[in-house]
Amino acid sequence: MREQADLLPGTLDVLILKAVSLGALHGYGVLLRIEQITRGALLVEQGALYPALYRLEHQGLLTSEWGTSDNNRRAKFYTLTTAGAKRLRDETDSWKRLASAMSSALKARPEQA
Amino acid sequence: MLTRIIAFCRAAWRRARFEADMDDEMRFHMECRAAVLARGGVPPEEAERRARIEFGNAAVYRDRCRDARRLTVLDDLRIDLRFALRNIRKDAFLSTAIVATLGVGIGATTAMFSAVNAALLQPLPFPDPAQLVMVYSGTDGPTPVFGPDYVEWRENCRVCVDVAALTQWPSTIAGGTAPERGLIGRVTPSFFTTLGVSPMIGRGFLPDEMGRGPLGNTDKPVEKPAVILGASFWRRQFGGDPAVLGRSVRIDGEVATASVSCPTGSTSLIARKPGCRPRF
Repeated sequence: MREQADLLPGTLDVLILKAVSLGALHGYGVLLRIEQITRGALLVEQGALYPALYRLEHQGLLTSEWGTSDNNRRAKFYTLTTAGAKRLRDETDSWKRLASAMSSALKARPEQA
Repeated sequence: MLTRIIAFCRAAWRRARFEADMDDEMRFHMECRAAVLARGGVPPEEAERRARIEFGNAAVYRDRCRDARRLTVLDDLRIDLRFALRNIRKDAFLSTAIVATLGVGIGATTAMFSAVNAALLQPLPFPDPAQLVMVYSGTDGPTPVFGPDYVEWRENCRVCVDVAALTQWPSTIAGGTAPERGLIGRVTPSFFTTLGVSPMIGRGFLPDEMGRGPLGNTDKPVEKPAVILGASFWRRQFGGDPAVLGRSVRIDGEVATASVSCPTGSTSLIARKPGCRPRF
């Protein structure tokens, strides 16, 4: 069993936006893509994906369209909108800032205090 | 009404469509997961079961999806309303008391506002209402103005364009569909011209419809007394028939009418008095 970390609040939305930005995906595809790009390090509750997808679509960050999946079944595909791309850029910047701030804070040694 | 029904049906149809699509989407997810597990050697039934477990509580997620689309607002409203109705029925006495209190409170406030609105807030329904003043005589509350005083005022008032006199009392007016109790006013011929209104149909009073004497109120009755009916009285008693002109109206038993005309549709002062009769 790999070690998996629980998602921080608010991270699922960013992960979904990132996953969809790499190409149109159906819900299950989003899950696989997130597993792939996080190398399986983050634990995503499968069902929790859908409320997040619906919310992002409602906010106009994603659009959806019914199409046919690889196994020839009707499936709903999500794509990123312009607003979604902008949101992803903003979120990425703020994550980078937070991550670097956190890691430098946690690296601090006694003589720096 | 029809558009509302169509809109409602469309919303219901869209809602059904939304539910079906959402179910389908989630089922697709579980099928994909089960297929992956089955490829790994898990028996199909076991794979389906595991896919369902991994997905989590679908009912909860479906609800959160509806929430994300603000679809639960109406559902919640319906539940709340049903709860409220049940509680109202449970304690009927208290509910009745509350409704009665609210009803009386709202009614009293509305009545008071209506009166204040009509009496104080709404301007009088005459041209230039700010130029109209009511003059009384007497130091201890209003007392009747004597005829000679009126004539004196009318002739010598330099700040007024015109002066008209009015006195009124409750009477029984017959001649329409049924006798009616209402206020009768005796006015000087200048009354309607002073107010700046003219009858809707027919004509105003003529100077010779005023009797002799300063105010015309001599003992000698006027040869051809005329009356002007209030617009609401005219509509109520004569069905708004223009043929009312020239008909007789009995006021307190006296056949007192020759020419009948109706003043403007003004809602206030005039219309509130069912009939105005000069007895000059």
